[in-house]
Amino acid sequence: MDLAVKLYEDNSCKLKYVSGVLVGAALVVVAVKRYRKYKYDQKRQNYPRDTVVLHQIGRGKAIPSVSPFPIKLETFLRMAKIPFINEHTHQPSSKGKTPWITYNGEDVDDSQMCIDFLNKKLGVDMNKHLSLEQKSIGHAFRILVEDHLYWTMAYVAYAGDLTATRSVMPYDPLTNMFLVRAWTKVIRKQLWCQGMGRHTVEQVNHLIKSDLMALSVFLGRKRFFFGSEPCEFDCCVFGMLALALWCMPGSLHETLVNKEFPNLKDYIYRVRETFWPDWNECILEPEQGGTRGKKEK
Amino acid sequence: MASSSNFFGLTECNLLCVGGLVAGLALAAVAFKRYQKYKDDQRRQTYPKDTVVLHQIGRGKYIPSISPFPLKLETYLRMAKIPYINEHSRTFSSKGKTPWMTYNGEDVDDSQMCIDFLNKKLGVDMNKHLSLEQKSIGHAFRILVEDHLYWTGVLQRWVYDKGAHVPEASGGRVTPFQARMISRKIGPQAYMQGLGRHTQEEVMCILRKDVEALSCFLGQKKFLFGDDPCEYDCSIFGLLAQALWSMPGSPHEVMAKKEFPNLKDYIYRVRETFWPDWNECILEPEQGGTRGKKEK
Repeated sequence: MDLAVKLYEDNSCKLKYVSGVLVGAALVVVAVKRYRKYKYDQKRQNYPRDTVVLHQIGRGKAIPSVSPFPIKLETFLRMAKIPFINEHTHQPSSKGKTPWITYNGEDVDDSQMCIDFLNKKLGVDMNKHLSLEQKSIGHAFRILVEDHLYWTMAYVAYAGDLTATRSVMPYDPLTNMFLVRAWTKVIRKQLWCQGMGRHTVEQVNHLIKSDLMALSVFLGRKRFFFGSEPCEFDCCVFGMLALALWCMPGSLHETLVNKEFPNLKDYIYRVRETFWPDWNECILEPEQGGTRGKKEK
Repeated sequence: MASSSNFFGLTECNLLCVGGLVAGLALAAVAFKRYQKYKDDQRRQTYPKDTVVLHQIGRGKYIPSISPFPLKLETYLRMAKIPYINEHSRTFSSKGKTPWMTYNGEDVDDSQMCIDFLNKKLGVDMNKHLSLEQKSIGHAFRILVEDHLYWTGVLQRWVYDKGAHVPEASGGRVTPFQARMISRKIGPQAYMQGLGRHTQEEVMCILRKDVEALSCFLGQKKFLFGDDPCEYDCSIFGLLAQALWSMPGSPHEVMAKKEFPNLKDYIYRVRETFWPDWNECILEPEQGGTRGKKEK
């Protein structure tokens, strides 16, 4: 301590000034963080009881979210008729992901863990009509969609030309440019680590086609993934395919879903009509850059 | 005469020496690389025609490979009766992965792309007896195994275990130092992939769901889709064999050995069908292997 004081007294005026500014800035940052935490805790106290608070990044121009996992989770809440409210925020979970939920003071992240948590907490089981074998197949397809098809979509959206991606982001041009650039850096690294980023465009196109063909073949002429009743797995398949249809203009995903696999297109519209009758109110208004109220192309 | 110029305290003479050393090292590196390429090209000219050259990292102590993808690819070559030779080396493909293969001068990497290439080139179809729906289900299970269950294994081996069992499982080919270095790189990769963001307990829960789904779908069948094996059996075997023979003490091993007996029977069945020479495909005791020793 004595040494620190001596050093401080011995240093030039300039150094004292810089140190003072740095300490001041650090104090301001700490104060802002504490204030934000205080406001956040206040907000949490106002959350209604026995109601899921779904934290997600906000509505999209033509789709309720530009990410598949909030759509999956929100579709599940609607399917299971669980009361919920949305909190649109860029605040991620403790694992750095979104969406996440708060239920009676308890935070849960990762869309599938949220669903498992609610199933256990509320005694919900949207798969109860399925056989064990169907559940195992459904699980495999969920992984195909969330851990493979998802990465082909991330590749198309972020590994190459970002024009289409920028066009669907629901932010002002400056925020858009900043956010897309920041996300691109992270997602390209993720793609390389996961493996998809090591393939050529041609190879990824082949993978996209294989995945969508598998989904289309398995769905066949069924109304939902396992027959005439929807199940939990429909939520995640819908979440991913909805993005292909409404959030990836000009992509191979969009082309294949629109033209080559018409049963997938019909399926997406069917799930939307069943669980999202208010779809139009869940997308941005024209003043915010959205397509609410406009006729779909 | 004193030195006329001074660059960060270094004299002209010092700079010349350092520059010369750096240039010399660079030239040596270039010469070495060119020599390696020359040797590589010489070796490639000796590759037999119409024979797959399977480049993989080498045999293991208890298992032909401690990586699932070489095992998958080699099982496929045996299943499809495609002539092949192994080239055990640490040379990676252009994508930085292994295994990879060379066929009549053409290099292909990524185990599934190798299989697709050979299917097309040689008119092979180990799935021809399956219906379209079965193929779609098989595709989903292959992705479950290779893009999800695989990462639980990566986390177990390299993050939770910190690569502790790898030197022994590889018969000493991977040193403890190398295992620690690899382990440091894998953690951030798994985080980027997504599964590494979960707690160990959550990952174990995810692992259990994947293994349960496999066990439930396999049921009492001999292979994934009945009495005849198919291409998807190669990838499932490649991964599950790791659980049984190269991840000692792991939850993967416990589940495969004790909790899901139909999976254990399945793994042994595939081994007996396509690897009758399994014992010759693991390292000898002198090399740190268990060839010839009774299995525990």
